[in-house]
Amino acid sequence: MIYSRGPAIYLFIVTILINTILTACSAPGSAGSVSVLGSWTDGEQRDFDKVLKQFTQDTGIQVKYQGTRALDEELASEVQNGTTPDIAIVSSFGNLRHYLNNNRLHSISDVIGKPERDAYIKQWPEVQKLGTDSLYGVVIKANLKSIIWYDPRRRPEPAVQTWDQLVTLGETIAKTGGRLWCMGMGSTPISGWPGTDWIEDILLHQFGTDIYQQWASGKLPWTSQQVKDAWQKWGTITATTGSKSTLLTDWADAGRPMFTNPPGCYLDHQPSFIIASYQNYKNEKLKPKNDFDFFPFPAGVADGTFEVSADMATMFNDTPQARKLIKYLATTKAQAIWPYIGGGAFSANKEVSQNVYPDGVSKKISSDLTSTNTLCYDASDIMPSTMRDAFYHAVLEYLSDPNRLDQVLDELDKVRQGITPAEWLNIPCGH
Amino acid sequence: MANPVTTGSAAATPPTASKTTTSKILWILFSLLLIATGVVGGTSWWVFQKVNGAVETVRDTTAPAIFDVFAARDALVKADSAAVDSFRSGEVTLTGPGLQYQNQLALASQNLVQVAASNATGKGSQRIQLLEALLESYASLIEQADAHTGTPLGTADLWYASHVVHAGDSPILTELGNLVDDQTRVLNDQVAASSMTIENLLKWIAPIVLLFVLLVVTQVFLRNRFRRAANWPLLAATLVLLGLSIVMSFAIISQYRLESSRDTLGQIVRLRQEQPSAADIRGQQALAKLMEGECGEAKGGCGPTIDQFVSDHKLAGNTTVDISDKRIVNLTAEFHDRINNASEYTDWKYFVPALTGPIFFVFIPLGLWPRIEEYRYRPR
Repeated sequence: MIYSRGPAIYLFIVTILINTILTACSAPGSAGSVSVLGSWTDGEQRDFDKVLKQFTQDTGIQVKYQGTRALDEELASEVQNGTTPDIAIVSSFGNLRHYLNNNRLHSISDVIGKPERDAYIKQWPEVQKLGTDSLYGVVIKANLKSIIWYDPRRRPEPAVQTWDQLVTLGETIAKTGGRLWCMGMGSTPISGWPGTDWIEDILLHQFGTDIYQQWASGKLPWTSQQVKDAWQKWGTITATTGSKSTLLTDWADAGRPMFTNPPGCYLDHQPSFIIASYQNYKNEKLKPKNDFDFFPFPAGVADGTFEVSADMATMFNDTPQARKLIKYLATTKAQAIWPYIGGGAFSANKEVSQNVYPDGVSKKISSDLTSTNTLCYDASDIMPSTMRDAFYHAVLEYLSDPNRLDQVLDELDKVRQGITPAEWLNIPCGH
Repeated sequence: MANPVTTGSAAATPPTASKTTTSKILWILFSLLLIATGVVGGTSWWVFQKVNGAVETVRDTTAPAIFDVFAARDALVKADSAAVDSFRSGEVTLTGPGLQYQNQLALASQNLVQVAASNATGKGSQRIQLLEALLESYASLIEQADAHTGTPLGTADLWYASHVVHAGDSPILTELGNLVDDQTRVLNDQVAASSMTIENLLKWIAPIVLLFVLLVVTQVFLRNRFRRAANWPLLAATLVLLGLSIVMSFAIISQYRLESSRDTLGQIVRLRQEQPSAADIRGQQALAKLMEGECGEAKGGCGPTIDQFVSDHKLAGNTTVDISDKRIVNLTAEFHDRINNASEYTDWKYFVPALTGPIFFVFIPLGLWPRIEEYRYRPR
């Protein structure tokens, strides 16, 4: 009896030890944590939390997400204080060049495998490489620009396909006392960006991708004829919208009059993320396709070309947990979560099934983001922050007093000349 | 002190076995008393240190930080209101946004610096940096509005500046509110850490009761064994222990005052967080009137954002709170009374446990060592 108890006790102790180890390993937080800084707050943060929740469930790694709208300032402050987040999700890449130059940013080339890389059309890895040979980010949320929104029941006729037709249509409607364009520049503290989208689109579609790329990478002067022409063309549009109204209206409110009766405006030039704003307009239950739809910006010389922007996860601290999160965020599984939730979130991953998108409008946007279209990254978002901020402000100055255009462009060019070539990103258009 | 051996009594000359047992018991009691004394000293010090530390931190750091955040908020809304008034009256063309604006903005900045100095949270410093950046952004927009006075951009800059304070993404007022929430959470944790829970009370009372029982048992033992009415040094130690217990009860009163001051501060925070200040409402209504005036002349009006803003502020009620509000003033005075009162119960008494420790270490050997000495060289 005595001799038979020994192995039993031994087995009992070993079982207890194994159980203890297994319990400790599966306990929350035992796999470590990863800190993430991003610009999403409120509803967007809740949506992104669902993406992160799946990661924690799969790996046991806790994610400490901090959302702030003053992302650039917060990131700069944290880097300066030595409290850098493991991962920062950024949309203005101009600042990343600075972090790249100072070796703050880690390459993730060895983190992302071939299947994840192959899941993107060529342009997106170009964006994720930040114009270098290494991969530095994973696009989490992609936005389609170069699109014009309208209410399908009130689309002004005839349907326009060229810039000239668009201008003529505006003039025709103005003659009847109406207003073709909904427009608002307000977006504190970065008011003016909707105007930069206009100028970028005009330059891209009127003069083509080469001129656009030269300008976006700081090689083409602001005082060049092409850039000036783009501003002047936009001026013909803003002349009909009223400068005070355009300056004082928040970008997300700009489209409201499109849905009033009678409509206060008919067309709204906005990125794909405006869907969330349309759906949240008070007293309106706006539905994609029935209440709002879009058509592409008049092609000009760049047919099938779209401007895009994105929120991209970048790694500032190379930890095993950060690597795992980056790898997870690049997977088709993670990429599909947010689009499925809705609210104007789109994946650049072509493996994400179209079925996750809740409506036809979203499916169309997703298709444009992942098909063979030529995609050019938003120029102001890849400009160094000094240049970008000056561009935003110049838009406001120009709206306030269009006669100052030459002076405004001169000032912008002085800013451009003061920036060293090393501070510019060069992300080519591609498909 | 009389030597029982020389008194010739039967009890004073026990048999060898009994002598050995007495010696052992004396050594055991002596050791236990010294250990219990150490534990009482340690736990008493710990309780006082916890409560006193919490009271001092709340009084000198966390509560001032919360009041400074509110002071920054008040100064900022006054600055903003003053700036809007300057633009509305046209004074801006002569004097810029005005002296009142400059003074209040400087005050808001200064208050933030004070918050940073007494900031009790790790996250708070990041928020303060963000607030400083936003404040700079606000001041810069007001400067631009001043520089562009009379143009659409001037009006827009003033509007954007107001947005930095009141609306949009992460406005200053929201961030200040978040900073108050951060500091309040820290304050609640600080107060809870010294709270007199059953566990904490036991940690403090159990060693005192144990020491008291040991002193009584020793006293009884010595009385039975050596036939003395009392061992005076041990009796003195018992009295010191009772005195320490009374002083220690002040820690409970102090903690109670601390918790009630926390509740009062909570009321102040709620009151000030829930309702906008009168200056804030006045400033926003003035801005709405200014915008309404500007937009009447503008081609196409001022768009849906301003239309909504003007309409909201025409309807705005008068449910406001002001720092001169009687209730706030009374609650603030009440808070200061309570926290100062909490501090009075612990301040100098903080050193009592430290002083009583050496007293015990004098009285206990004084009471027991002569008895131990008697048995020290006896045959075992």
